[in-house]
Amino acid sequence: MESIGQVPNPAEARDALASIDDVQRAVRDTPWPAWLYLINAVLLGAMALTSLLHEHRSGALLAVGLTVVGVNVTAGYRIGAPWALPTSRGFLAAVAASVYCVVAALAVADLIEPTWPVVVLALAATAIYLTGGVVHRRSTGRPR
Amino acid sequence: MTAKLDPVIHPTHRLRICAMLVAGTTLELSVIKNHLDLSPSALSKQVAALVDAGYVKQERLGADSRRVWLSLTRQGRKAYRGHVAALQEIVSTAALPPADAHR
Repeated sequence: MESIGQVPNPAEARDALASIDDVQRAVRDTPWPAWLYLINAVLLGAMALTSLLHEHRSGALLAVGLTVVGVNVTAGYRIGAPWALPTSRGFLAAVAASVYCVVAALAVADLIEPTWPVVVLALAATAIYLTGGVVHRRSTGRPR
Repeated sequence: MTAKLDPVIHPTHRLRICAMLVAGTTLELSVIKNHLDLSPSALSKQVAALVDAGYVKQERLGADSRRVWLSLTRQGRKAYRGHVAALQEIVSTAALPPADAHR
């Protein structure tokens, strides 16, 4: 059984806690491949557009949603950190906003006749995600 | 949760390995190696100590058996949280003014 030896003094404890923050941030900011942003943006737009389908709408939405999950988990395993949540608040806000656009598109399609609001929301979801991707990429750098 | 310094997690590199696993849940060994200034043999030694204590699970997933994946066990997560809480207590105790400071 190992022993602590000397109990750390406050300065050592503070340094240890700071080093924890540093490595956790480094892991969460593992760079993503550029293609992943593009595919996610396109798939989010596609999710919004499924609301325009007259048949098999739920099935199509589920298929695209599962594709998003599959692509991201596969990419995560490739980079070695499949479940690390990025620290970039700008990116996370952009993801939330683009998901909001998708949900709004699904809701709007049932309420109004014209299709253009759904298309606009799909484009907005894609554009917002891509903008967030640029913010994320700038904060993490390129993959090694 | 009990704030308690854990002798297995206490060495700096092991603490950092556990911290990374808390942040990433499951990580490939090479990701950990990239963030620690350790030789492969020294890293293996630190990981082995955590595995032997039952704090870290080491496995090979999928078709590529060369890739080693690490994750914290429930016991490891509990020990890590207790260790971090103990470090925070040490820091916060030092931040408090002494009891007779305002006399």
